[in-house]
Amino acid sequence: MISDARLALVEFWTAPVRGSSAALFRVSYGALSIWTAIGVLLNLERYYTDAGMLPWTAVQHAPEQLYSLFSLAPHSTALVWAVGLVFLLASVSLTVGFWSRTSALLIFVANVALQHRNPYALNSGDRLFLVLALLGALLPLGMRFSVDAWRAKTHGEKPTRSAGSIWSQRLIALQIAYVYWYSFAAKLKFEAWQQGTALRDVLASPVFSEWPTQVNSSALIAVLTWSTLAFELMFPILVWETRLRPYVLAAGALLHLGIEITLTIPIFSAIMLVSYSCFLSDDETERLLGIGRRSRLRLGRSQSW
Amino acid sequence: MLLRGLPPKLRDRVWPAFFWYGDGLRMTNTWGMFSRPPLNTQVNVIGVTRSGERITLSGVQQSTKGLRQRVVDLRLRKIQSRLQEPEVRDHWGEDYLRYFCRAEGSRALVRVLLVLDEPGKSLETPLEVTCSGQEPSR
Repeated sequence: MISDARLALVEFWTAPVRGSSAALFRVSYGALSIWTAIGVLLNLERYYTDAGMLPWTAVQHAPEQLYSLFSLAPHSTALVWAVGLVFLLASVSLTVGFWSRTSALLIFVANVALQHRNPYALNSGDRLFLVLALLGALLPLGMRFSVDAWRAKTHGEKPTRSAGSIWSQRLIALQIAYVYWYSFAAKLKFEAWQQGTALRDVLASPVFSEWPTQVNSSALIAVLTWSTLAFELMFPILVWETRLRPYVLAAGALLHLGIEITLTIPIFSAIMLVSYSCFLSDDETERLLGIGRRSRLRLGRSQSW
Repeated sequence: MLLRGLPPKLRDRVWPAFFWYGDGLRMTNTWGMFSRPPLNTQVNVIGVTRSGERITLSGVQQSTKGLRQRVVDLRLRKIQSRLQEPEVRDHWGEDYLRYFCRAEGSRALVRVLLVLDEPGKSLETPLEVTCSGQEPSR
């Protein structure tokens, strides 16, 4: 019994992967990163320079500025533009899988600087975006469906059946599971969540809601509130079960699409959905994308991308 | 990953060793999204022209904007809503309002006001700046 559990634990962390789920993560994260970088560039001077709404003097005293590139030349608008452009270029190169890991690291470094420069523009989704950039750099991002894989092939490098083990993918999956459980525990402290009325305030909020609306149906509000709690509690338990996983992820997709449509919380739902790729096995990802049979045949012929 | 969620007393003890990771690299966070009852105060920035006309320079309502402007201003609501918090307002509110003095220079604004609109209460103006470079008044 103990030996079975130990074996399962070892396999949980070390199962071999081909890199398909990492590739799905790379492309979806990269696309979101391009969108985010464009948003940064459209607001670069307004949000991140001395000419904008938050001068350096308002943030310079925070000790964490030591970790920001902007502390090297805090009044330089050129540096802000350079960081913004690097962010965009790295996002594009990550999406196509060119220097994939380096690109993820560049996105991380650029965002550490930007987030320190204007912490008032951020929500939890931005923090998760940053965390996943660094954890994502540990994934075998470029092993499949990428320029990196194509270049390796054309340079005559021998293709491999395995891109390594699944441990880095598990780190991201556990991070997301932790987000849901933390969120569940934080909500339970508040009466409105216990009584099933919390979403009435959220949907009516002029700050959060896209179209602030007073929903008068107590039953509907209770169902929405408690189903959110139930989902956050159960996701981290059920998502590891292969048979249940598609339903759990589909429920999560519905929840986050609902948040995306009704609330104005930039990036949060999108980054949660992007992270779902790390719960999928390579087989599941290939089935999802309809490339399973074709790619397995290709791998059978020792073609790695 | 777990550090930020530790009980405060324990977290305060271990945090100096992990500051570089948690705050420096921003790798930890609390994840209590939507748990607290939301603040319902709308934060608006109002400009006053020489003729005394009051112009809304920045409001939180996205729905009145065109699609392009909504995309550009995606984070403006978050930024501006932070000014509901008195400590944020004290730290950075004047800089925020002065930005509108500069950005809206063509409208020849005399003053810029931060107006809080909370349902069921009368409008509150906790902060204003003059655009001519004089000291702000509260």
